[in-house]
Amino acid sequence: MSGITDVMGVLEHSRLIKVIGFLLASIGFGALLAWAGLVTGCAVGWIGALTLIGWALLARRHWQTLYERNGTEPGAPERVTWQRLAGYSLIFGHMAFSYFNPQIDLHVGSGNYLAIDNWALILGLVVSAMLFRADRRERDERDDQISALATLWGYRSLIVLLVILLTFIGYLPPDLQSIFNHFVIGNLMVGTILLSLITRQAVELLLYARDSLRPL
Amino acid sequence: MNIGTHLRRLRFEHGEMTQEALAKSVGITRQTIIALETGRYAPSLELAMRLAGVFGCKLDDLFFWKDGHVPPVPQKDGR
Repeated sequence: MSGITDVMGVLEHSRLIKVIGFLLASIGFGALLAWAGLVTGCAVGWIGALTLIGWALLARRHWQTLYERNGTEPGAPERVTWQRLAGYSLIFGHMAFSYFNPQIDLHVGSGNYLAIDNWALILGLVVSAMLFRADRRERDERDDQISALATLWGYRSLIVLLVILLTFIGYLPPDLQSIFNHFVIGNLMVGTILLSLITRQAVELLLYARDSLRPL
Repeated sequence: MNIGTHLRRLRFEHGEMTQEALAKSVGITRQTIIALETGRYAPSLELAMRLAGVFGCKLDDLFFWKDGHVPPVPQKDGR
């Protein structure tokens, strides 16, 4: 490998790590919010929503600076994908933590603080998406190709996750079946859909990273 | 990718046209122009013809096989 190709390989590698790191950090922050809500009893979803909107504003400013400095900002569809990955991961992290904590009302279908948190996070996702609404129109054939491949992987992950979930529920020992009431199963399905959406966004960002830095 | 392009040279020969101006004239993003110029993306026939139209040249003047000849078709398992 030539020296330039070596450098490109390292850059490509660091961009891939950046996507995965961002994904894990967002999921972790969502879980942290759920934990904080459990400890304090406050509706912490609003903190998550404001963080998401704040991140979107900072990211927009950062990308504008990159555009003015050297034109290395991500394209419009890639920016939208970052925003969606942030939102979906945050909500998923919040839900995933709740699955493992029976004291949270997700498991019993009573109370409402979790629902408030989830809806507040969804509101944050919608508001932050509005900051990128102009970007949704700006795309071309290369973006469509990347998007099609990412969508394919998103659907594949959904099928795999549904098969795992249904097999798990189907072969559950009878004494554990009472835990998985229709309310819990419903929330697990929502989590499954979210996970497939996260897979789709992550694959799209990985494809953009590969596409922009792939060795010549 | 086996296809190279003279896009960057043609841009400069046409009044140092910016990537942004070229992207706008053919309805694509600047990032795709960058991907084309660095040989990381092969355009559709329609886009290639639009680009050739901007510079008033033939497709052969804009894109070329890097090896100088048409490479063999990659073999795939037909089953």
